[in-house]
Amino acid sequence: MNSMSPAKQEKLEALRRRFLSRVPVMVRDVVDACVRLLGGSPDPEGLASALRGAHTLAGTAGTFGLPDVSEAARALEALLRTAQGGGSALEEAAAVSVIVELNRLGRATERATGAPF
Amino acid sequence: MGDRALRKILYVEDEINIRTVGLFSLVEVGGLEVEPAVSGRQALEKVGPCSPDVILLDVMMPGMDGISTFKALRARGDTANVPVIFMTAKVQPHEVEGYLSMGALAVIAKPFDPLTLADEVRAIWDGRPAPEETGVAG
Repeated sequence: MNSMSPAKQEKLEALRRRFLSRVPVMVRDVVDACVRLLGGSPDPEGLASALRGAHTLAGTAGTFGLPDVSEAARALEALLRTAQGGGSALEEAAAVSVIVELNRLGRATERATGAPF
Repeated sequence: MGDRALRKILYVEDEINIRTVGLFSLVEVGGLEVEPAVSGRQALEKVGPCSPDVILLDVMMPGMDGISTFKALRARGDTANVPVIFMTAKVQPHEVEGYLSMGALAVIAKPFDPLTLADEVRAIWDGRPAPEETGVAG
């Protein structure tokens, strides 16, 4: 494993802090996109947008050491991907699952960032 | 096994936060020369002038995704034999097998560890088969 100088460690930590400051906004965007889908009508563009947001959040949160946020976003991504395969509308059961995962995502975000969500 | 040290990577990643930490990992931690690309299309534009040893290619990208980019690279005479390492969260065994059967050199799971990404890429490069073994240059 490469060892890092204190300067590089600080630089990596600075990158992580910068990302942490953006997490609440990223999560809010995903939440908003999902809430718009809960109306029930097929919305391919909205679903694609929510899916991209969840996927991006899952990947970046994992990379920056926020496993709970990543896991919740990944679960949300899986639900949205299933909905995408089924015609771009959230059926009632799926909508309930999405809400559960959104709550989990919000709690994980609060724990990770220390900011109320 | 190749006997030349890894020097230059074309790193294709659309998400700015991941790309930033990936560049940090590869360049500042790993000491590698890296050309970033923000999309599959930009990767196809840069790969010729860049002439990388290996391409690190994100799979899930909007527009031209990693698979499409890979196929386009394979279709070009000047890039068909450049080794490609996919980076993806989809790393179930059957998914990895699929990427490898397409001709990828390896698959790196996301999320990656910024402290060890460069080591992982180097290990893959150092362990790659010689061209005469598989017909794949690298």
